[in-house]
Amino acid sequence: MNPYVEAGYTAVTCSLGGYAIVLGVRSRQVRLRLAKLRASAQQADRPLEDA
Amino acid sequence: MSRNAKLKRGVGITALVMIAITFWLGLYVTPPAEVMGNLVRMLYIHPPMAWIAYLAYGITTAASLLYLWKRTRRREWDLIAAASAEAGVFFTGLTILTGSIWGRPAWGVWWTWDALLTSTAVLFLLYLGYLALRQVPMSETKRGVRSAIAALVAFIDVPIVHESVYWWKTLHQTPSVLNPSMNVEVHGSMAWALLLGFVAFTMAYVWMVWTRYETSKRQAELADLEVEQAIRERLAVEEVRL
Repeated sequence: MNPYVEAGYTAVTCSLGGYAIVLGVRSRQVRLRLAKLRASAQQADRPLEDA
Repeated sequence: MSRNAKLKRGVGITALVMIAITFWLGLYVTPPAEVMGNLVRMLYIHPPMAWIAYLAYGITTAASLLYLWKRTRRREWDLIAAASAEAGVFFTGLTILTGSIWGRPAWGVWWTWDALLTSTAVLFLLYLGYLALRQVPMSETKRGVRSAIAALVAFIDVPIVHESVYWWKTLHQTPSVLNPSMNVEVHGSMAWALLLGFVAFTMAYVWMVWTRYETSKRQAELADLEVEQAIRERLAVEEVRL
């Protein structure tokens, strides 16, 4: 196989995979942070609701 | 898992499988070209990247227009525009990279200040500027309006990039698929591999924009909640003081 073709396909595979991983990790981090904040907001509201 | 999440996962898996088949067709099934030999295999990845970049910037422009028009102004349009621009920058970068890898054996140089290459580099920088502008601290509406205007200005370069091979003398060949006469100059298994490449990378683009958009929406929600929490804490402190 032509080395330039190999380099091209490798570059595309690594870039797509890398970007997909970054997107997935960032999405998970934000989702977890949001869930944590929502839970703490609910806890803060609870005494008021009870009152 | 919600229906949306299942659908998004389906799109992602389909894109992955289709890209794998494109690579298999491109590397092992399709024949080498008469003149270019095995180098023709770059054809199955390079034009789809350029197509996605055009598509991404088109979506960014449409979403920006919808955000600028007050009757349709919604946070979602601004977030879609940004998500699509980010994917566009990614695919423009890959277009330049794969083009450069193709150019070295075909033209003897990694880079030349050719009209198409230069206008593509300008396009890349314009949308990098757009993404940088979005990082400047300002109110959400102000940021949305300013970046929407920047997106419209940047889009002027897209037809220039596409038409540059006709307007100026360039080293780059004219498009084999997206040409004015819509005369596809690729046939047989090569055409199928190329077509699949277009569909596969479009699916990957959809998955990327979807994921990025959802993350941005959650980040905006997170920022709102953080402000609410800060106000609540401040009020609690003042109540204690009183």
